[in-house]
Amino acid sequence: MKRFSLAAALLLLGLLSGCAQVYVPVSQSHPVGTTPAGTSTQPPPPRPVPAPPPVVEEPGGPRIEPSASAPVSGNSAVVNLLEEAWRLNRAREYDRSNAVAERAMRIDHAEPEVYLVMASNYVAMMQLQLAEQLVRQGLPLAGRRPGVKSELETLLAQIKARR
Amino acid sequence: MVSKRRKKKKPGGRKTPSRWRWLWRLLAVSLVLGALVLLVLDAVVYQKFSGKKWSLPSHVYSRALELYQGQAVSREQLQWELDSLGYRRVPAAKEPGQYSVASSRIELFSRGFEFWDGTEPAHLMRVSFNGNQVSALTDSRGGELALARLEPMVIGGIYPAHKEDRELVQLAQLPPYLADGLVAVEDQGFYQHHGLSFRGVARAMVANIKQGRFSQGGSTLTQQLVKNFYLNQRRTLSRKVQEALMAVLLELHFSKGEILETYINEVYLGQAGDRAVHGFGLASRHYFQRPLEDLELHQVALLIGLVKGASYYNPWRQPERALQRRNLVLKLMAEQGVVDAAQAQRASRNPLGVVPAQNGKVGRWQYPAFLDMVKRRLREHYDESDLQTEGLRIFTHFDPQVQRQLEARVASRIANLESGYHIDSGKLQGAAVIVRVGSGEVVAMAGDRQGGYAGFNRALDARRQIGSTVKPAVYLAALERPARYTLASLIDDAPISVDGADGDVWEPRNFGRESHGPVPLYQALGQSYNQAAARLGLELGVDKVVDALHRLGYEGSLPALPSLLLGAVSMSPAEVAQFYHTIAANGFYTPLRAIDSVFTSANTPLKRYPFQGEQRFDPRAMHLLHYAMQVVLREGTGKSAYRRLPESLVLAGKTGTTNDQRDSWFAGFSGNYLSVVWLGRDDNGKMPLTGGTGALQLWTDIMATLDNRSMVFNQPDGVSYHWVEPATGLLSREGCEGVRYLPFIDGSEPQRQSACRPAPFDGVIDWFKGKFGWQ
Repeated sequence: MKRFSLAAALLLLGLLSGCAQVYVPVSQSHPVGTTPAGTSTQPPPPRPVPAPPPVVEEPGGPRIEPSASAPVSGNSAVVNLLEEAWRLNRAREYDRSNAVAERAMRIDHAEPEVYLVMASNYVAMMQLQLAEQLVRQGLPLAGRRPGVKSELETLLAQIKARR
Repeated sequence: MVSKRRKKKKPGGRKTPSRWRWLWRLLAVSLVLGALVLLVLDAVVYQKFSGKKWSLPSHVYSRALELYQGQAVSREQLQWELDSLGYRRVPAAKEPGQYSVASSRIELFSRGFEFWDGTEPAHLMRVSFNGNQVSALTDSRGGELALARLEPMVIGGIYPAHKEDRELVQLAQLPPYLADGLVAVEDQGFYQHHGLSFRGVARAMVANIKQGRFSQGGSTLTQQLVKNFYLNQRRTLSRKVQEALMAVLLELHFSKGEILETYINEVYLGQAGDRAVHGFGLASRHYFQRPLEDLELHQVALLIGLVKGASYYNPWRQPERALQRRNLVLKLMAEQGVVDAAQAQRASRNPLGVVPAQNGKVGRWQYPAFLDMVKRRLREHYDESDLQTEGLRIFTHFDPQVQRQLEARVASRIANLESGYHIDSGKLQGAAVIVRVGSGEVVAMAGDRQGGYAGFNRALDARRQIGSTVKPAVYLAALERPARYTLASLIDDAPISVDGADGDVWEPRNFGRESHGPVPLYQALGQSYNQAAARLGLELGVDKVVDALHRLGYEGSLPALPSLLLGAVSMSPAEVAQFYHTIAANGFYTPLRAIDSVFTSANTPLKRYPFQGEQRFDPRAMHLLHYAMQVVLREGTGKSAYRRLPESLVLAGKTGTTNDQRDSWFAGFSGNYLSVVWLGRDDNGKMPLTGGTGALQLWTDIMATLDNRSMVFNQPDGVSYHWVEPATGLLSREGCEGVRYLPFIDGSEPQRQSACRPAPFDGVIDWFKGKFGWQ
C-alpha cells in the first residue's frame, strides 16, 4: 500500500513536470546573422555536450544503451557555416549553399540543421526526391532541436504536397 | 667575213641570253619559293602562338584544412601541413605563405584561395594549441575567428603522353627581378632587337673561334623560344636559318611581353621522375615547394641559372655547381642594374634553399592508390585526352594527414604480424580504405603495404572472399522482419548440412569446431557463429540476403548460393567500405566520393560532386543491427580493440576470416570514420591470422590515430528497450540473473515473462528513475 501511494504521488508529480517543459521556438534554428565564414565573430555560448552512453559490465555482458539523443553541436565553426549556408540560400545561390553546408557536415555530420538547409536548397531547385531524402536523414538527429525537427517535418509535408 | 663572224658569234650569242634567262628564272623561282616558305613559317608561327600553346596536365588537390576551435590538429600536424604547402618559417609572419612557431601556438599568414563556395581571403591568424587540439583561433587584432581554411595541396596529376608538366604563370604574377634578371642573363638586348641580335652572333662567333669549337649560339630569348616551342634540338645550318626567320616573324606579330611570358612558361627547368618540369611556375614548386610569387631573390637567381642547363646545374645532384651558377647570375643582375650590389651580395650568402630531394615530388605519384580512384571516377565524365591536356583542377576529399598515419600504421603492423606469426618476410600484403561517415567521402586509401607504391591497387582491385564480414547483411535481412526475428530470437548454432545441386553437401562449421546450441541473435553475430548464421540465412532465404547486399550498395553479381551466407563472395576493400558505409550512415546509401569538384584551367567551376543520400533501410532495423555490431566489439570477436581504444568510444564493426585463414578482414566505424582493412597474401596462400588477430589489430592502430567521436546511437521512434533473459528469449526484469537490456521494434518484444517477474509498479518506478536520474 505504501509502495502504491509512492507510485501515485510520483506519477502526479511527473505529469505536472511534463506540462512544464520549456518550449523552444522554431525560429531559434534559423540563422542568427550573416557573418560569412572566416570572418571575425563572437562565438555563441558553448552548448552542453552529452556524456557518451554508459557501458556497464553486467553478468549478461556489457550494457549497451542508446545515447539520450543526438548531441547538440556546440561548435562555433558549424554555427558560422550554417549561417553562411542560410545566407546563400536566401541569395538563391543554392549550389554554393550546399557546398558550405557540406563543410559543416564534415565537422559534425550529426548536426540536423545541415540536412535542413540542404533540403531547403533542393526544394528551391525543385529536386524534391533529393530534398526528401535529406529531410529523412535529418529527422532522427533532431531529437534535441525541436525547432529544427519541426521545420524538417514542415518541409517534409511541403515536399509530399508538391509531389 | 660577215658570215663567218656571224657563224662564230651565233652559238655564243645564243648561250649568253639563255644563261641570264636561266639565272633570272632561278632567282625568280627562289624568290617565290622563299616567299612561300616565309608564308608557311609565318602561318606556323602565328597559329601555334596565338592558339592554345600547351597540353596542360590536370592537377589533383587534397582537401583544404579547416581550422577552428576544438579541431583535432596538433601543432606538429599544422606545421607539417604548412611545410607541405611551402610556407616559410620566419621569426614573425608578415606576408602570405609565412608562419612562425612558439611553444604552444603558430602564427600564420594564409594564402588566399578560390573555392567552389567562395573566395577564402589571405588571413594573418594565430592558432593556439592545447595538446592535440586547437584551443583558440584569433585574427591579427586578437579577435576570435570562427573558422579559417588553408589552401589545398597538390597531390598528383594526370599527364599527357609526352610527360611535360607545367603550371602557367602570367607576367603580373612574377616575383620581382625574375623578368629583368632573365633578360639580363640570357639576352641583354631583348628589348632592342627584332628577334635576332647580330652583336650576339658576332660575340658568339668570336668565342667559338677562340675555343675552336661550337660552344655558343648567340641566340636571343626569342630564338631560344622558337627552338623550344617550334623546332627540334638539332644544330644544323638550315635549322639555324629557320630559327632566325621564325624569331623575326614572331617579333613581327607579338609583343615583347607575350614572348617573354611564353618563354617563362615554356623553358625546361628540371625533371620529376619521368615528368619534365617546364616553366618557372612549376619549377618554383618543384625546387622550393612554394608559389613563384613567394620566391626570394636568391631563389629566383637559382631558377634563372637553371635555364642554361637544368640537369648540369641540378641543385640536388650538383649543389656546388648550382651555387656557383646562382651567384654568377646574381653578379650579372647587379652588373646590369637589376639589383644593387649589396642586395646581390646578401642574396649570395644564402644557401640554395631547395627542399630536400625526396620532397621534390611535384608530378610524382605520391598517393597512387587514391589517385587511381580519382582517375577512375573522372573517366566516367571526361575523355582521357581532356584529362591529360585541358589543365583541369580536381579537388578531392583526400586528407594527407590521415593518409600519412595510415601508411605508417599499415607498414609497421604488417611487419609486426610477419615477425610475430613467423610469416615469410614480405609475403603479407594489405589494403585499407578510410571513409568519413555520413558524407561518404574517401579520405585515405592504402593499396599496398608500402606507402607510395604505384603497382597493383589492392584497395580497388584485390577482390577477395569476405568471410564473416558479410554477416551484418544476413542479420539485417532478418531484423527487417520483426514479426519473425528480434535480437533475442534464438538461433540454433548446431551442425547443418545442405545438399547442393551437383551432389555436393555444404556443411559449414564454426571456427572453433564447437557448437553452441540455441543462441540469441545478437550473440550469434557478436561471436560470429557460422552455423547459426547459415541456419538463419537459409530460414530467411538466400535471395533476401542478396537483396540486402544490393541495397547496401554492392553492385556486382552475387551467387544466390548458401555459401554466400558465410561470405563466399569476392569483394575489394572499397566495395566492402561502400556497403559498410550504408550501415554506418544508418541505412542511407551514399556513393563513396573521392572528388569534391572540378575547375577548368582558368579556374572556372566546372562540376561538383554533391552529397546525396538515399534511405534504403528502416532506421529501426538499423538500430538493432548497430546494437549487435557493438556487441562484436564489446564482448565478441573484436573485443581486443578496446584494449587500446577508450571504453567511452562507441564503435561497431565485424571481423571476417575466410577458409583456411586466407583472408583477414575487419570493417568498423565510429561516429565519424569508417575503416575497412584487409590482410592476406597475393598468392592466396594460407595464413595463421584471423580477422581478429590480423586485420582488427591494424584497424585498431588506425582508429587510435584518428580523431574519433562515438557513433550516433539514438533510439529511433518505434524502438523500445526491454530486459530479456538471453537463454530463453523471455521478458525479464533488471537485476535478474544474466538479463540483457535489448532494443526491440515496437510490437516485436517478447510477450512471455520469464520466471523472474517484475514486482508490481516497478515499471512506474523505473520510469521515474529514468525521468529524474534517480539511482
